[in-house]
Amino acid sequence: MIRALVYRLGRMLDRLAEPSLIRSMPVRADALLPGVYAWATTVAVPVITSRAPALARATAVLALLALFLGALLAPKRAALGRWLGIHAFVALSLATWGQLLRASLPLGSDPLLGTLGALGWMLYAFGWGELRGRRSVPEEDPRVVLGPSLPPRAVLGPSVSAISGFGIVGALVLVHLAFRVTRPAHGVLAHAIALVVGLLLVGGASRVALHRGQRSLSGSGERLSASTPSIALLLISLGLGVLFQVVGR
Amino acid sequence: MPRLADVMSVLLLLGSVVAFVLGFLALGDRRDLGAVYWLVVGGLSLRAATNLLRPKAGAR
Repeated sequence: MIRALVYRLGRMLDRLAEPSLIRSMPVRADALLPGVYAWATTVAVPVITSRAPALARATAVLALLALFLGALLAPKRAALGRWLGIHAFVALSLATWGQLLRASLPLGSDPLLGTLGALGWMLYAFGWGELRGRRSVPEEDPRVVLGPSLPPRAVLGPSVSAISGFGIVGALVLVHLAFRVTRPAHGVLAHAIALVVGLLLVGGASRVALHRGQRSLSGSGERLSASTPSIALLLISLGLGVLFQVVGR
Repeated sequence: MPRLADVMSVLLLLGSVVAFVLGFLALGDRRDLGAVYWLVVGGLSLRAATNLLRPKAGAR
């Protein structure tokens, strides 16, 4: 039996030494590491820190196992790899949370850990998406249809990154603040609002960053007069707020 | 002069982020009316910021 085990281990090491497997390691890491992080922060922590039932512990371990197997199989057997790495992993994580809720155990108490876990799940979703390979140039593909090169019309300045980065950071701060809302019903509402407002903020910030200073925009006066209704509404709201504060006191 | 609208647009965007943050802080502190107020102010500020990016007539 030991001989068979050593033989199998040797076969496994041989397979690991295959160049194609080593070449696909970054792809596997993209799919694996965010998932492990999301699992550790949102599944493992509540299971370990509370007296979780045996079934919850079992589903948590199975979820991690499914993720590992999925990431390992995905490059060669895409359908099975995705089924294990996405469907089975998410279903088993949900089953773990279901068991914890059934046992009236908390899913988490630290808002920061919750935020990091949410980011982990977001990165996990991106990790399983199809991306262009690193350092690969689409035009170098042998099946590419050749034509004139299309250089970019403009180069983005540093302020574009700064403004869009501010929008992204603002959206992430809102996601974090949503975890501060402890009332259950309000908490769900806060998360929903944080998601919608975060998307609007990222979209608005990119729009401001990209379109600012473009020649296709009309003059300042015309732009200011066009946005007068919304600015007026904003000023009225701010005025009402000040009035409420003064009268309220 | 066109810079004025650009600067205002960026300032309104910053203002909207601040208003949204204040709204969520108010919601966390169980001040529901304050939360609704700041979320509305944030939405209006964001809308005004994007409305300022009006293209020239016939530019598109």
